Amino acid sequence: MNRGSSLMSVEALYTDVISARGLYHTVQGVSFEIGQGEILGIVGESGCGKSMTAKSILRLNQEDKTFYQGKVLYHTEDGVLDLLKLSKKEMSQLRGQKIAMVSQNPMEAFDPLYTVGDQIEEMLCYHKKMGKKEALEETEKLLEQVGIFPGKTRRKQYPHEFSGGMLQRAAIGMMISCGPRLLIADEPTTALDVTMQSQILSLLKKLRDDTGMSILLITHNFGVVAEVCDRVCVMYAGKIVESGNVEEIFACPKHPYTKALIQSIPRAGSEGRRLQTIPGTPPALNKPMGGCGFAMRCSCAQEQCKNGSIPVKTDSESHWYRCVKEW
Amino acid sequence: MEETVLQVRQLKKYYPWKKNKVKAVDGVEFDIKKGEMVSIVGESGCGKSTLARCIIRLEEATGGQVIFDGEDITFLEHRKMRPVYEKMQMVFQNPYAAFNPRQSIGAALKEVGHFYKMKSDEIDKRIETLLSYVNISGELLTRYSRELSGGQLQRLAIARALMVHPQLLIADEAVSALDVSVQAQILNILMDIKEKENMSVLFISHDLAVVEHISDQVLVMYLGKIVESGSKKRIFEDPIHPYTRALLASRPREVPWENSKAILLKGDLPSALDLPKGCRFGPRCPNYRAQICGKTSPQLTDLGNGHKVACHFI
Repeated sequence: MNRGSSLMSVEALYTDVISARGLYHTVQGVSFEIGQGEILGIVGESGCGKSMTAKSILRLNQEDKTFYQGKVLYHTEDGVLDLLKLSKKEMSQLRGQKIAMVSQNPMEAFDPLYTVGDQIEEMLCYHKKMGKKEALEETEKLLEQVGIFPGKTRRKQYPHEFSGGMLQRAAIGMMISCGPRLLIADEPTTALDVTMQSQILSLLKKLRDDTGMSILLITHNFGVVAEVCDRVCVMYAGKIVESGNVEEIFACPKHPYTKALIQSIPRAGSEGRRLQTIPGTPPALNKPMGGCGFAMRCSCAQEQCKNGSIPVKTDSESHWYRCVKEW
Repeated sequence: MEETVLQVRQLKKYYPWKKNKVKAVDGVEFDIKKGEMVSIVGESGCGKSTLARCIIRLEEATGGQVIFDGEDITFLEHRKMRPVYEKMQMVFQNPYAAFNPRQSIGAALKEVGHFYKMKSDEIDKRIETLLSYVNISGELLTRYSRELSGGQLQRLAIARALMVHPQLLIADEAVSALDVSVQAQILNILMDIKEKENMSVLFISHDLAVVEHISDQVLVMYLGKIVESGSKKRIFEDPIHPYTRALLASRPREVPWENSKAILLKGDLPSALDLPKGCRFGPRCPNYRAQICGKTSPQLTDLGNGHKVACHFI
């Protein structure tokens, strides 16, 4: 399939979650599109709803306590599927097979009581209906594809015998075993060292180039975004506040939140100087909110920001932001 | 000559493991001067936290010396460590684990003062000054740790460590678990307080950008040994050791149009149980030569200006 045509479009997605402290509006009208073979990044502080967006796509939240609205459209060769309307059974066939997810902590991805190989084989037997012997060979190939040598002996080891970075690579290997078209990577490098991080990121890029799958990369690290992403969405308080090609976002960030985030990163040349900080904390998402969620922390907030409607402004065909002021 | 606060000499920490030994820290030497911010960088498992814990006696060293403020504290009885802890304090990675969940924040701060026999009015005054340093309002003192955000709590943990006017603060990955905007607040506060109180900081981190931002001196650790040390400028602008170079090259790009850095460090940190012969970095080193590197372990040699490197090819 040619690169660029849309693989998934999320349209006005709302996710509300019931918890002991009330109803949380974790995702508030998020829309974005992922093209074939594209790496889309979602950045934001913790608690801004980026992981909830990812989980909503795969419907991994507790079903009876979560309410979805909007559409998650998945484009297949023979038509469009709305993931939010699928039955539980259809959904579980899709997970892992067409859309796979890698989480922050690779230890959580594996059962400590089974060998790494067993767990990858299970995936292959369930989704691809492979026989035991075939699955075994495929597992070895997959492990070597993600840089774990020799696959033959490594597959017989337990998760605790792997280091963090190696286990994360094994988790990625398990997730791509069925040849998914979309890989959702939720903070895949946050728990790892810089050297491991660069190994994982180059692995993700290589997989994209080799197989043409799309990647939705969730991170709070702008360095990771600069390294691998084609396009970025900046999320704040459940909404996307700015979106554009990665070059546009770094060269001319428009939304005050994006600017503040980029300036709070220590970088070469900033030594010894004070870093810019963002006063206050992100708002709790269990209260209804009018206006711009960032207004309370924004240095150029106006009256309209607090209650009024916030217009969407476009800077170029691919770059837009949600702010009262023209930047 | 500036005053030296901490001298570490040939510090060793071995853990017994079956018939073998894990050499977590193996002959580390460095000094911290008054008012200096010294950082230790390295991958996880290289022994940087163990080193810090040996210095502050949360772990017992196997050998070597830790001389703090002119006194050898390496094997001092724990009873006699109390006055030392008035001058040396530590902040940890997870602030939620650092506070008692059943105690209000104010009580936790006051407890430290009472423990060190400060007077009541002195305690109140100190808390007030510290809260203004860390930019937290006094209302939060009645709250419990679970009611506060990670950033607020980490700032309070720093305030608590400073109750006793320490000369040395050890910060073990104190900003690693925080968001960038919060991390920026903590870094600003640490730099301000260091100036105001004229204290030294031993800062442990795996984040090179953070280290470059705040440190005066940098120590690069690999498998229990220091492989390169020197002023921040020398380490970041003119790194010599291949490990330091690889570490710097593996940083993600700052902007997307920057050229991709090619050197990739292959593989993992070798197990500390089964250390490679000769140079410990040998198996991952691009310049590895079996005749030299495989036989002897390189010594840390001074290249002038306090820039020290442990490599056969310098």
